Amino acid sequence: CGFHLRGEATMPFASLYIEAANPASPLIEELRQNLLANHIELTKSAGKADVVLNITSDIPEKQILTMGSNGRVSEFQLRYRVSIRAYDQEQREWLPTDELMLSRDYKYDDAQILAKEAEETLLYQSMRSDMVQQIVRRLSHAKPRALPEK
Amino acid sequence: LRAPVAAESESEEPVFVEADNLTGDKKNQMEATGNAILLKSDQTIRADRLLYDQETADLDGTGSVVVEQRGSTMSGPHLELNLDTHAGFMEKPVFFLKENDGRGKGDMLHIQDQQHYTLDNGTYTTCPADREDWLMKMSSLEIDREAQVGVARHAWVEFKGVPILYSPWMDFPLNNRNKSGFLSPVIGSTTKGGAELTVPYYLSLAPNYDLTLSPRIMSKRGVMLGNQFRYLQPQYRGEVNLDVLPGDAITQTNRTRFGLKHDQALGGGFSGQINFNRVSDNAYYRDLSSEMSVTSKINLLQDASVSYGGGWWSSTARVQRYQTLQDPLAPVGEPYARLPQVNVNAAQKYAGANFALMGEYVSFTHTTAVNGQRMVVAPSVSVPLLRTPGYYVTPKFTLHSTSYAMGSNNTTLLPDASRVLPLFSLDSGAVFERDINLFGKGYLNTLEPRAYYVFVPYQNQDKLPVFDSAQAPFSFVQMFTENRFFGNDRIGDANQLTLAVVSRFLGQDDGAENLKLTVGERFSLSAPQVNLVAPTTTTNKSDILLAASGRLNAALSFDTELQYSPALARIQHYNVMARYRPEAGKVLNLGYRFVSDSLGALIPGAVTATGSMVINGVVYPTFGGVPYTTLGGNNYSVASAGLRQINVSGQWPLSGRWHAVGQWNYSYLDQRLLSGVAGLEYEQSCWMLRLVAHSFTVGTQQTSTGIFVQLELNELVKVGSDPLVLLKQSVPGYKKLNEKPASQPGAVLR
Repeated sequence: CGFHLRGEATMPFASLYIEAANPASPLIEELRQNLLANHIELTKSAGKADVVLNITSDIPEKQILTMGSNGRVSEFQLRYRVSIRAYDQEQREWLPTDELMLSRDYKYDDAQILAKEAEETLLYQSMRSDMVQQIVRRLSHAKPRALPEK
Repeated sequence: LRAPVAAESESEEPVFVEADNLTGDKKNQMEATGNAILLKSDQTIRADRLLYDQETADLDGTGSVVVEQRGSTMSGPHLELNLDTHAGFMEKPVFFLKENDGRGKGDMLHIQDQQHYTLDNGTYTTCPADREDWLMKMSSLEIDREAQVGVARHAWVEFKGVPILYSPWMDFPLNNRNKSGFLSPVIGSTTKGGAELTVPYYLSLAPNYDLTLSPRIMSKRGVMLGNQFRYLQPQYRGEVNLDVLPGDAITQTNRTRFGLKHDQALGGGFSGQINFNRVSDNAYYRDLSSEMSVTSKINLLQDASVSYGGGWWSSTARVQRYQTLQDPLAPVGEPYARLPQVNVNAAQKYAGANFALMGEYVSFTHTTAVNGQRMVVAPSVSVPLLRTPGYYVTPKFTLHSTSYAMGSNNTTLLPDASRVLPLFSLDSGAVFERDINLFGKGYLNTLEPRAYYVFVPYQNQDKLPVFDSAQAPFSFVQMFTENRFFGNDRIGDANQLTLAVVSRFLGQDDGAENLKLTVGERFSLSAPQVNLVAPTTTTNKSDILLAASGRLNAALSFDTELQYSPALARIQHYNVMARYRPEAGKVLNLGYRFVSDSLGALIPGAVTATGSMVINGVVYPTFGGVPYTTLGGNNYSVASAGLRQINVSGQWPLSGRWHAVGQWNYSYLDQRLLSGVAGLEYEQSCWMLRLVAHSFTVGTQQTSTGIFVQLELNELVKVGSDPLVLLKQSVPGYKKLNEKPASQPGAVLR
């Protein structure tokens, strides 16, 4: 049916600089590990990289999904939104600003709040890994776009 | 014709004058008539006639004078201005401000210098020129661009010719920077507080400190004073909230809320955090808030921690407890306090293997339940045997050891105990790819099978306490973890294999995930024996999970999941969510969620109903006072009722300038509206009217309703009660219709 094993991914650039408000965040750390495994050189300054990846926002959210008739939360939704943009030294856009959004639903019970805290941590970890995969996939499809006419 | 005039004065900016006719005399007087234009740096002055004295830098313009600067204009019949001191005046000025599309006019504009202006008898509006739906009139307006403040005296706002607001004195910031002053008053009505008015006053104490005082008058209860103090420094930041309602007229008590949030950088990878919340009584939020996210709060966090992160290890030490707000009709068990909790995590790579260590010490305290200390040490090693982009095989071995020292309230005489268990897992998977064309679009289609095997020997843990643990619900995330429990009090015995397949459809052009299909099932090779709800049928022995989600095109997205139990031959839960958002301001959401009743013990033998019981609107037969249900010929006790809810919401333009917005969240089990929103928005070029009604559940058998009426005069003021927080929360994808487009390209109109 045409399926074949995934081969070595070829990234459209050799070096990358990650620009983020908090460069020590767990997302950035995991993204670095993934890119290094993809043989991308991560530069120490924006000026030395082929492409600059800008993580413009990195927002975890927790929202009520369903309420019980007792006025208590019966399900929460965790959301994770990350806005990314990539450009090169000539200010050409490689990835126009876009927001990636992931969510996980889980049943909530105030009587189990400590266990639910552990569950939230696990769900955030899973969303973070998923997010890193999506960002890397976007980067592997990135290409320079012509500068807009002035 | 263009004559450069000698560069002069303190500004060193050259002045250019051009016109149909230019004449100069010996006293450096220059007269320009007919389409006269004077250019100086970013300022352009046009007039029928310009008289300019190069010696004194005095400018006199008459006849259709227009001063333009960075897109903002000011026009009038006569201008006198000194180009050095920038002092002068303009008669009968008409102005347009580019920053906020504001415009207005006045009798006279006095220009003190480049930064200070005073307008006599002025008017101001953001409405377009052909319609003046609202107008702010003031006897004088002082503008200080240095301090970025405007002060209006004897100001009133007319809406459709009717005066709606008056203030003898009001000041407002010229940019978005905060400046002391009254914020928009909030007027509203709720069933629990009656009619109410809040007038927040914002005090900018320093660039890094501010204070907001919010007196709130409730007709049924009295006057509450809200205080919020915020601070921001390079090393620390935080906010303090203190709300006080002395002598609530209904409860005859003082009602208070205190909140402290503080983040501190300590240097060297260390940081500190405090999050402390306390309210005076159980009903505080249910009585005094009209936000569902607040009234639903049961446990208020009281937590302080110090963390170290960086390099190959991290650690956190914290003290944590909760204030539990009880609903007398549905009491809930108080969680344990952790006084303290210390954990350490470390990870190192060595010789191709990943070594990790998890360690935790907690002292659990509780006023009534058994107290105790728990120590966990769990070193692990995982070895990626095979690792290519196409497939991987990773075994992992963990040695989990736990020891308990029991403390007070040990009524069941739990012994001090320890438990050592080896955990073995083998994770493997492959990724296949193909190119495929669907509906004229190219996709990269992946097929990602994964197999995950876990082996944990059985150890009887019935004599161990349960401090922080619960059975983990079966999910796509949980099925690839070693333990069936969250928390460290129980380690589930396992001899199980989880199989899952993910298939993705990625846009060939951008790599975006347009569709994701997932299926997974866990097979237990031997029946698990460790359980927290003993004995149980919900050990997720071999449930099947199916999920599909995606963004089919720019407008349509959906998300759905289903869990099926072959053992019970029933659907455990499913949910469907679809969203249609063809453009900003048009969105429809449809969701349905079903969760089946959670089952307790299997009731052996034949059962004859001895009565009946209603749980959340569902009638169950009872046997010895225990409600039960029959599945596949077996009878199980019912631990708690499930969920059957529909949630429909949307925002959609009606005819003319009217827009509808609403939400309907209904529980079929309770036959009750959990949250309902109905609203209308009327959009005019420079103002908006919002009429919104909201009804929602607070606590058992209680409903709170509220009416919001808000008139927003664009870029000036919002009058009334604000429904925007509610609308954004209850209608996912809601768009504030008169919001200016975000400055970031691509961040809007998705």
